[in-house]
Amino acid sequence: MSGLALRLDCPGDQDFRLQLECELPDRGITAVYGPSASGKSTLLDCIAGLRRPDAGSRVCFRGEQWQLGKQFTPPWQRAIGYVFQDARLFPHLSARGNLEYALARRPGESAITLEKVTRWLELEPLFDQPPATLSAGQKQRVAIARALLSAPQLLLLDEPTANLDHAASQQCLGYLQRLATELELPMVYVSHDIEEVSQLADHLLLLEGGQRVDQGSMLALCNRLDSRLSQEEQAAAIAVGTIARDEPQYGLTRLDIEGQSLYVTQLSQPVGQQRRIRIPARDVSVCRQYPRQSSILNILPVTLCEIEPGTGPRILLRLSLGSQYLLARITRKSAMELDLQVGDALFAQIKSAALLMEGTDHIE
Amino acid sequence: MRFALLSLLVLALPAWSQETLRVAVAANFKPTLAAINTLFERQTGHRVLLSSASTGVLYSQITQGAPFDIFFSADRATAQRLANAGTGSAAFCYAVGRLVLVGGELARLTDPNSSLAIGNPASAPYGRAALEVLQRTQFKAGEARKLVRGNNVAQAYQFWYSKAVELALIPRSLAPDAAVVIPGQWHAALAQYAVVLQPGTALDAYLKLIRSDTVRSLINEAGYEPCP
Amino acid sequence: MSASELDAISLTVALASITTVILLVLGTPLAWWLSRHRGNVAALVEAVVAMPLILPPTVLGFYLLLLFAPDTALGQLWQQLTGTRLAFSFSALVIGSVIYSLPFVVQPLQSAFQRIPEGLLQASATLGANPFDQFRSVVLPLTRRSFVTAASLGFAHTVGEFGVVLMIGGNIPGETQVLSIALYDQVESLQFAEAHRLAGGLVLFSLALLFWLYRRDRQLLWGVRA
Repeated sequence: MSGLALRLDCPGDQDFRLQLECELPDRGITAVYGPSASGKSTLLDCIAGLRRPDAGSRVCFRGEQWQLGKQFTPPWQRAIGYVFQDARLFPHLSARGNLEYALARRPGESAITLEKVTRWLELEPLFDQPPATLSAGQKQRVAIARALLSAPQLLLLDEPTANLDHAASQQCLGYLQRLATELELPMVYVSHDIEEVSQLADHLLLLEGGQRVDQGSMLALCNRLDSRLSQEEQAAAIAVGTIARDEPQYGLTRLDIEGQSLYVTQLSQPVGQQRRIRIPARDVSVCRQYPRQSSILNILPVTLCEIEPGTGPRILLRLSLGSQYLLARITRKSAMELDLQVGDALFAQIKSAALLMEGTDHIE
Repeated sequence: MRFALLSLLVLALPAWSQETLRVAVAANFKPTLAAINTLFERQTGHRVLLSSASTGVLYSQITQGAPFDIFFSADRATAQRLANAGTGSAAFCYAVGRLVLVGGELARLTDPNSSLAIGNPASAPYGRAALEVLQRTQFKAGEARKLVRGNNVAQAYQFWYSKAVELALIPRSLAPDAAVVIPGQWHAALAQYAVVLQPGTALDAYLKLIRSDTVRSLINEAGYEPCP
Repeated sequence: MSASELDAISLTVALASITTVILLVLGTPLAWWLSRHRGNVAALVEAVVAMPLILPPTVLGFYLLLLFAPDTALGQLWQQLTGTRLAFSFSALVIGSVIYSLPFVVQPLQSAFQRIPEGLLQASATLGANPFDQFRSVVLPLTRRSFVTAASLGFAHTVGEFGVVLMIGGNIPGETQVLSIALYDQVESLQFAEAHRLAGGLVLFSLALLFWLYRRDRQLLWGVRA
């Protein structure tokens, strides 16, 4: 089943040109990541039909041509929902009015009812309020609900948490994660925040200066040394673990990764659930011998599979743990002194406090 | 030497004593008076500023203090009123006007589907006269015609000239070659009177010219009749 | 008040009302188009719309007079369609008033439309609204006040029309003798008492209307002149 096929040639707002040819999957969350003025918003606008790329461009979703040659389907005929950075609620309608606006215009029946989105996004108390009285976080929730109520087959989100404070932001991401799983609705999520992207994305498209720099599954891209991501300061590997046991007396939860134990701050979640863990490279150090009586709880046996070539003071290491990977950023001097070689069996030490993944619960 | 100076003085005299006359004239007489004024300016070196409007409008302006030296009305009553009020000195007749019909024969006045322009009867004596003519029993059949009132007789003529209306009843002075001249008995006499508002030397010369034979024949040629 | 004065008033009210309705119907799409386009064509259209603001009414009156004459294309077309003459008719006044009061209706509407953020319309497009729907469901509710303002200004401005009517009206009682012309007539024929009545009434009407408008919207003047 084909997803979103794109061939775009479109001038952006600032001095760049979006030139892209790629195919995005038709399930899960695809994050579009890049610095400002890399074409991310232009990309969303082109998919939505709010912007018309130049001749020769092509937009096709699940076999339906939205743009090909001279043919151009206008935005109101495309089965998309769009959550904007600034919510864009209609000021003359209450929150409920905004939701009903979407309801009145959706093309057919859908499992997404007003009652459901109200429950999912906890909108009940906001119903009769005019948008002007809502906080940024509340507005964004209404905006997400409104976009969902238009029964889209593809949901586009343009940095929806940009205007939210940390708490509201995390809450919003939580909602989105649940919705993605529950609704099986593919999403294209634009962000310049790598931590956010790490939390949500299944698939990643990296843009820079209007060009595609990299594309692939989130896990794969994160854990590669040659990816753009790893060049960043907050480069991090993403691992998947299963919740094994809570240790409430210590405020910790133990996760199972590839047969090894990983302790993280307590997650109040049922045992057996799978979670993503983001492990920043700078929080990982390596040693040849198992350190006895160390205060660090998380010490995992790994194999060194790749050393980043370079002349800078710090270098990246790629470590394999079973079928998963970790990244470690150490000083080049240490690497020399430890005489690290590919294939070495090492121990990776990870500060447990560094592992962040905020909670998500199942949606009923 | 003395002679040269003296002659210079004499030649300069008109320039020194050049005055400006402000003249108000009813719309129908304007073209004629404009020609007379040119004559006056050439002869005496005085300047004449001419203001034209309907009789009623000019009367309003004069009673509100407009600074005219002499007023050529289109009727007798208005000039007389000014004289009686003391605003002006004795009124005198300077021409008798005639109405003409342009755009068709007299019979067209019985056509209810025609359009006809006249001056505004409220403020133009020629308009009042035209109305008198139209109210004659012989033209009763044409009562339902589209009757358009120009702000002054000049505008009535302009309406006909720009073909916005088919016919117009206007002063002969505005259309001297018009074929259909309305019989004088069909309306109150259009004796036009002038009244002096500000006496002066220049004005005296002006009056002298108005009463001269040259001007009299000028006025006649323009389509007016001599005063009784 | 005499019959002719009542005639003049009802004629003026009819003229202003019909003109306002026509201007709202014609002016709304025009104002919308202007609010959403830039470039030379838009600038030209904007300039043409604004011309009645600065041209002397006599200019407009002159050209209309020539245009409505029975021997022109328009005059003859009118004659064929309606069987009546266009020159010196109430319809001629309506056409003249529509042109004359156009900027007073279009400019407030255009200002209001320009204040609608494009983002809101994009949002409504993604929710399934086509351009007409966007206008009806987003733009109209948000600009209701400006419609009232535009209508009031168009109405009031038409009531005050004089120069144009003087040139193309023909001063026909019951058909083209509107208030301003009737007043002029009264002054000309020295009926000052009646003139005071009409003029005074018009002053009070204008003052009341403008006061009400300015109270509602302090930005009014800029909306018109911008």
